[in-house]
Amino acid sequence: MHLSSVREVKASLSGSGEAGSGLDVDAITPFGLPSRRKADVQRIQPSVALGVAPGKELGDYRLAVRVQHPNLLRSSYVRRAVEVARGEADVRLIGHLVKRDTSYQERHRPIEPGISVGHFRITAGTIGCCVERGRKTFILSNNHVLADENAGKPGDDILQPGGADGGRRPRDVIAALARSVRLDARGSNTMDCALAELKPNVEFDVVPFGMRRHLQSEPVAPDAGVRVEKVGRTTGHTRGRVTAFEVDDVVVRYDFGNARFDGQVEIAGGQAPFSAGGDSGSLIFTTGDRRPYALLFAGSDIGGPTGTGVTYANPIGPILDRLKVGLLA
Amino acid sequence: MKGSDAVNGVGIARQGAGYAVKLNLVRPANTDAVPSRVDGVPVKVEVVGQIEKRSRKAAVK
Repeated sequence: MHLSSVREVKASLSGSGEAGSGLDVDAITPFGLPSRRKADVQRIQPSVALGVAPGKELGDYRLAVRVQHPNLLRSSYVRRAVEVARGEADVRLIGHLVKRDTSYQERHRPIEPGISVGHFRITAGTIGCCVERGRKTFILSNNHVLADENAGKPGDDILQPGGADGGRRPRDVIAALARSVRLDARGSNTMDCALAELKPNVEFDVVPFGMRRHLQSEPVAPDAGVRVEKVGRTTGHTRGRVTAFEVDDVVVRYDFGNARFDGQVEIAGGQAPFSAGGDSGSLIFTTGDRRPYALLFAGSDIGGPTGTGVTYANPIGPILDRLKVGLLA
Repeated sequence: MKGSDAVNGVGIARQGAGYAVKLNLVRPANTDAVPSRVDGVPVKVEVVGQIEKRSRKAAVK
């Protein structure tokens, strides 16, 4: 369908006055309400959102129908939306949306894996984990988070939270850039990683933010189908499944241009994306035995079993070997 | 499709109790030349779009 046609369909449905268009508590009642005092029920209830979704090829579009309550999937409104769009509708149950938890983006002392961090010139990424070499303690994240895509120099200030989250020098300096693995714009890359040495007065906790149980310290080798989790600055604690491993020829867009990666891990979330911008540097660990798995660094907004995009990560074992550090768990 | 700018990754995926080759594409493309199996191993094709670092300025809120 042409974009203009989708917009016309959307406009005709939005002005219908039926469930889904400016739905309030009276309109949603037939589909079920929680049992509580009416005065305590939110006037605006989860309903049906309309938008534009990509079609089967470039320039082709469909009506996006995003349903926030399972009972509404069978409603006359959704049926009519599909009819009006002549079947060219992308109907998905997205559930009840809640405001995003911003606590991962705040200033925390002691610092913990999973919270906002960044080189003083960048926006923000995520602290992956704490690592050690000898008596020195470092935080591990991406080159593009801690080393500003090769532009950072040893000793540069690292902020928690990152600059996009209000981090400022000298107040929020927690570490100094120590080492990064250079991103190669011409050849093949296998990792996007860097270390920053913690300042002596900065306390740290090795358990990811918001979690109670410790991780294990021994990494596990990649395989497909593995269930994994991460804690990140933007999307918080999310779960997903490894959809591919040993992925070669992955082209990733950076500010300096494209870079090619080999040997990567691909992960998809469920109904929600596994990651978003700002989650770079998150440590991905296995569900259940909680073993370190990979370092998150890139992703897309489409693809994956539920169409919510795929996330790419570097296997963590080779990173620890290359940087000659041990993971603190 | 080696060398095609539509290809954005070739890896290994699970399929049933075994494995498959997974061919990732930036955008929908003609995959008629892609065999459904290579040496008996199934080939899965998926459009994953453009891949970007996960701290891109525009994406950080």
